[in-house]
Amino acid sequence: MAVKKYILLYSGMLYKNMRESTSYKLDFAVGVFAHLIIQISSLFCTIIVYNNVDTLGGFDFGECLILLGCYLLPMGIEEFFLHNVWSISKHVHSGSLDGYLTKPANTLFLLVVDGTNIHGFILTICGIIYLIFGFINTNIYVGCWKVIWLVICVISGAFIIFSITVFMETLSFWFTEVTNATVMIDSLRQLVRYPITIFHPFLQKFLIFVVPYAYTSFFSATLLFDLDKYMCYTYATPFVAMVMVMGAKKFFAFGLKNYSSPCGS
Amino acid sequence: MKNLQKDFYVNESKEMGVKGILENLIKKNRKKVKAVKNLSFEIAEGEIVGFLGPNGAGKSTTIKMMTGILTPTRGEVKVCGVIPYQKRQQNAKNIGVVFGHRTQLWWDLPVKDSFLLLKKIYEIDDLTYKKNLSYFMELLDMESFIERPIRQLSLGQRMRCDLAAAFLHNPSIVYLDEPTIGLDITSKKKIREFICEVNKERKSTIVLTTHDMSDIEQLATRVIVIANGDMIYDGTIEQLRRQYQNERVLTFSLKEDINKYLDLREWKHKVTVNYTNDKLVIRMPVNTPIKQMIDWVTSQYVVKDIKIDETSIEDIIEEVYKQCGNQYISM
Ligand SMILES: Nc1ncnc2c1ncn2[C@@H]1O[C@H](COP(=O)(O)OP(=O)(O)O)[C@@H](O)[C@H]1O
Ligand SMILES: [Mg+2]
Repeated sequence: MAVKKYILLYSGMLYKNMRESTSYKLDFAVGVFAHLIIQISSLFCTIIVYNNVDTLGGFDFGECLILLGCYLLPMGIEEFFLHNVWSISKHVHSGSLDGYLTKPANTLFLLVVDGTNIHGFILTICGIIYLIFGFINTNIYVGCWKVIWLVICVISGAFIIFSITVFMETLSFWFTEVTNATVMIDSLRQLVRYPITIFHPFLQKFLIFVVPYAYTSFFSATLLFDLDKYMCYTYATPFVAMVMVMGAKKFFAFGLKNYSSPCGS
Repeated sequence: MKNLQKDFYVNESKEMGVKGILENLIKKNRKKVKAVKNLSFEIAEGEIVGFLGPNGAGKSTTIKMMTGILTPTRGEVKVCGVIPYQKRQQNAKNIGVVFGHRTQLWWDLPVKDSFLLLKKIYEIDDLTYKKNLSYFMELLDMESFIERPIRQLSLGQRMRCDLAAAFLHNPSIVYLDEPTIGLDITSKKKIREFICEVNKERKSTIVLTTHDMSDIEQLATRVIVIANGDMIYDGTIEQLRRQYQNERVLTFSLKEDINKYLDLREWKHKVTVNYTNDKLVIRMPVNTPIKQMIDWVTSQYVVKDIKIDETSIEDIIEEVYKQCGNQYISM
């Protein structure tokens, strides 16, 4: 019953988001074009870097392309489907959170799905392209089982990114403006576009256990490479995601008690 | 609703210029503000209650606690048996909200689509939705702009859409925070008629705040006056009038300049008289009958015209605010 309601609601919101983002035709076209240029130039950079080194942390060019694909996919899905999580602090600051609080659906859900970023769509496409190029450059066997786990890992990864952002943005209930802190933590995610084996063990532990961004790219890639050493982390990914989402939800509800809607609104 | 209280922490900056910027970064200058102190009241089903009070009195804060947006610092709120801030979703089904300063609808979306989305959010069944929509469209005259996005509507049109949106799911209680702010007379009238009609038809309870006394006069069956977070009056508007309205003013225009003083011994010291050329102004308490006075004056002078003024509701409210302002200063 509840699930059905949320699915219906989500489809409605998605339709609304698409309508909104296409209501300014020029801006939409420029946005798509700009994102394409960004991705193409970053692809060239990557090719140049990997042309100058043979292996990075024990992974060759083809494997690194796959890693990049694994990095882009959850990021793209998060940006496309759950992008509005980034505006929690904006809504807290301006008081537009009031509107979500007086609707009969989960506040966090309503807020998060109320907006989309076309960028996410382009990132997802690029991620798939990276994966295909990676598979061409390596000779890895990909069976049904791996595809299923890849999908699970990608979705879990998107939810991990989402939860960490919720944690950071929820701090705005106490400090009002926290976007810079969120950006800071999120920039840690830049690290996991490279194999985490190149980092100091301390940083590796940090990315696995404290701010678990390692689950959003590296452990889905190692699944494809048949690296048994990391298999337990791969299988842990959906559970990490579930725990993170529940924690984020609790933390958000806790922060809400401290919400002081600005006056004059 | 019992002993409701809410404290806020506010940031105050005393320094100006560069010093102010530095101070912002370094010092923590928080100060406790009691926005709502100990409010208690109950609202019955079907009532239209008007909240009155000067700016910053705590009206919006009270409404936000009743809608579940804010968690009270102390005290308890219950709306239809639900504690709003604990069971937000359950509470939200029963209520409708309009904040005059900000639309609840989606900025870039045609009004029609906004309504459809609300239908999904509130899980309104098709029949109710269709019925309500056509009913509200007619009452509020929305036909001409229903396909346009909110962004391109005038304030009056926008407010009508917000109002319709708030009533779409047949809520049992609707909160309207300054629904007539910044509107012209005709828009105000339309909105008042709508509120009145829906209240009668649907038996919805309505809580509204406004600074427009005619809203209150035409709609509210009960007024609650709040100042500095305290309740200072709760009752009907007639009672309020009786309580604060102490005199009526009679102005007589005479045919000739006044040549003799009026003998008012019969009224003892209850009335005051003011003579200027051909005008005679008498102030008398509300509870003394004026017929007798008029008869008496017309028997003494040749009267051209008579004007009777009652203290207007605006004057009364101003008087009430003034009185609580004095209390505040003496505190
Ligand atoms: N978010 C907030 N932070 C700090 N102070 C607030 C906040 N909201 C309201 N206040 C204070 O509470 C008091 C009541 O405000 P409000 O309820 O908006 O008054 P009004 O009766 O005009 O609607 C004001 O003094 C205001 O400064
Ligand atoms: Mg207000």
